[in-house]
Amino acid sequence: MSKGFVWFCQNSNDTDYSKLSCELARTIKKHNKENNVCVIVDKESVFQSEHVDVVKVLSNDDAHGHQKKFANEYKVFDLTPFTHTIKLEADMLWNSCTDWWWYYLWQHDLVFSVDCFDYKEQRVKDKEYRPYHRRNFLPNVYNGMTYFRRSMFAKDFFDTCEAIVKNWKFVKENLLINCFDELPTTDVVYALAYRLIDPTSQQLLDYPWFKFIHNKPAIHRKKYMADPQNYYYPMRIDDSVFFGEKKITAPLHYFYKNFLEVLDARTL
Amino acid sequence: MTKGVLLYCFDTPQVSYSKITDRCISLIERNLDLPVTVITDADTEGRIKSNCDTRVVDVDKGNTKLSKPWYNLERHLAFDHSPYDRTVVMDVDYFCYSDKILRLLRSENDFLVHKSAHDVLHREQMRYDREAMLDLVWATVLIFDKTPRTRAIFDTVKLVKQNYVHYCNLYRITYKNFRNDYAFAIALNQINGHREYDVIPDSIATVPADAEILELNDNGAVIRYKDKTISLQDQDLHFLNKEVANV
Repeated sequence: MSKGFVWFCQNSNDTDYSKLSCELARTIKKHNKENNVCVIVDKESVFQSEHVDVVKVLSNDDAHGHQKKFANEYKVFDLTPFTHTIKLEADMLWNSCTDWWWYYLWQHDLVFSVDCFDYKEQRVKDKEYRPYHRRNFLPNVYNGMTYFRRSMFAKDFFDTCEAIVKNWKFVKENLLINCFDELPTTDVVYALAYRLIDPTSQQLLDYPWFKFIHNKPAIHRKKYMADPQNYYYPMRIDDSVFFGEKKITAPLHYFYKNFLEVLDARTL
Repeated sequence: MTKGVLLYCFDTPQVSYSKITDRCISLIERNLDLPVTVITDADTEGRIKSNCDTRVVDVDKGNTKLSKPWYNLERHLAFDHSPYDRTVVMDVDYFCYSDKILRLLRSENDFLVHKSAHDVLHREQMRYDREAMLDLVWATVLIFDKTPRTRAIFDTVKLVKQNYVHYCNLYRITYKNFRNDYAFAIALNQINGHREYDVIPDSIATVPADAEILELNDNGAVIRYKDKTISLQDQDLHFLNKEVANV
């Protein structure tokens, strides 16, 4: 039985996700004893890092040529080398020891981050950035942090995700209301897939601690702030991340791809 | 050690705070049995009918709330104004229908303030944690000893008041008018080394401004909101509806 963290890393024209992945892996290893890390990459994004245990190269890149490379994410169930997997996104940072999470998570097949935290680590239910979730009454699950174990239920879920991605045109025209995305985004795919396999959300687990800080202005309820990256004085001191004077402990999905420079600018 | 209550009362063209003060003092006499000192201005002094110690100051009338005069700029001077060793400063629209304040006075903390309040109608959460980077305190009731630490707290409140625009920017406070709640929150945060500090453990029961006050008696109030009539008894109440002066 193995446990570990997995995420996809596919560099785009404007973002070096390998660098972000190394930093996320480093912070996971810094804080956790259970710290196996696997990063799934395409052929152009292959990298090596002392903090990453396994780098898996996609044999077939469905997102080739896409500006936003979400098209491979349904494959995570087949590609993960672990029995128990926490799937993340590359633009995140780990801020505290979460080894104890596994004792709760491994009792279940599939656990999502339902809703997210603001920088004060208070739960935010708003769907400001999620018009399709709002319009289609989809569960407010985030793919940015998802636990699954090798199980039939998780396999059903990811098979449904695959069907949605591969039949996106039909899905957006027939299953979703007012959806005009040319390409599927993982958050919508996850939410719709979950709605399909568990329509009444009876098995949707909502652990109050299994959430991440989503560093978007409206999540912090400040949609129109000047200089949103700097507004709350983010900084890092000895691997502790602060917003203003508050040290954060939840994982941080920093969203802005040059955030690491902003984070260190005040302290280095 | 002397103990007493310090009130600030300045009538405005819209609200007769002196009438509210008289009612507040009668409840303090009944339920707390503490001496009361009222800080007021020359115009208001003659309108306060209660038997209490009054001190006249030149009030700073610069602030407004909802476009109406709001004379809230003296609270930071409470340390200097208070003749007591252990002082309770409270808003005059905070009515003591219980002896809760007496129990708080017996605590060993040299500075106490509420950190939470709730609407008695339970319609909305009175939380402002998204409006600033630090947690708000409710300066409705302050309890303090005269110690070097509390002196430092009040001095810091003065500093915050003098540079309020700067502190609003620093703590990303949305509300730009001077508000004692934020000034004390900032001062407590800084004096306590940006860490948690002791607060009054319960929450202020707040009667919202849009609830009609039908009756005030010795033990509580009867209010009406829409089609509901509610009796609130034996608990301290903070009235936001200034019509309380005319009930």
